[in-house]
Amino acid sequence: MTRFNSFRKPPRKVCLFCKDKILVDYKDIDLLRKFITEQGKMLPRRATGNCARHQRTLAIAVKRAREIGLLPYVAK
Amino acid sequence: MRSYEIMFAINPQLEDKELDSLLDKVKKLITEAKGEITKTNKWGKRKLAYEIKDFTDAIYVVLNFSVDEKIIAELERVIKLEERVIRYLLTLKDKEKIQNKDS
Repeated sequence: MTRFNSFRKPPRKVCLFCKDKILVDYKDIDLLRKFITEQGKMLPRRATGNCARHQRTLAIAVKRAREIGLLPYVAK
Repeated sequence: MRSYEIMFAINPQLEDKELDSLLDKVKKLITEAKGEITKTNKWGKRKLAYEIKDFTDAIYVVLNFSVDEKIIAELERVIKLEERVIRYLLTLKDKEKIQNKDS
């Protein structure tokens, strides 16, 4: 048991959009950039701590922003 | 009637006058169909994240409006034919309101 306890769980993240009651919007590029890597790929939920619903809407927002040329499909 | 949001990426070489005439053309289509424009937001020139049709910059404009859904097909046809528009993005605004109520 003690061996298991030596693994420390990182504190659980709360979904930013639930916490601050922000609506996911494809126009808010600065915010969207926090959820993508330098290469332009989306971060997984385990990294962002988003809830399932907001991660889903976020994915749609990122794809929309890519379509209109606000975010890259692939950077570099 | 449904509310929509449309974003344009427009040729950056366009002068202010031409830009206004282009926007008026779109707005006229909406108002003639008894639609209502609620907001116009000109972002100005921005760098594109990647090249589109050999352009590296574009003028961004966001229009919010509500119009009968039957007009949308005609509106999209006109915009697609318009060469000054590099790219456009049409989104439904109704759904976001519903989403907002849930959470």
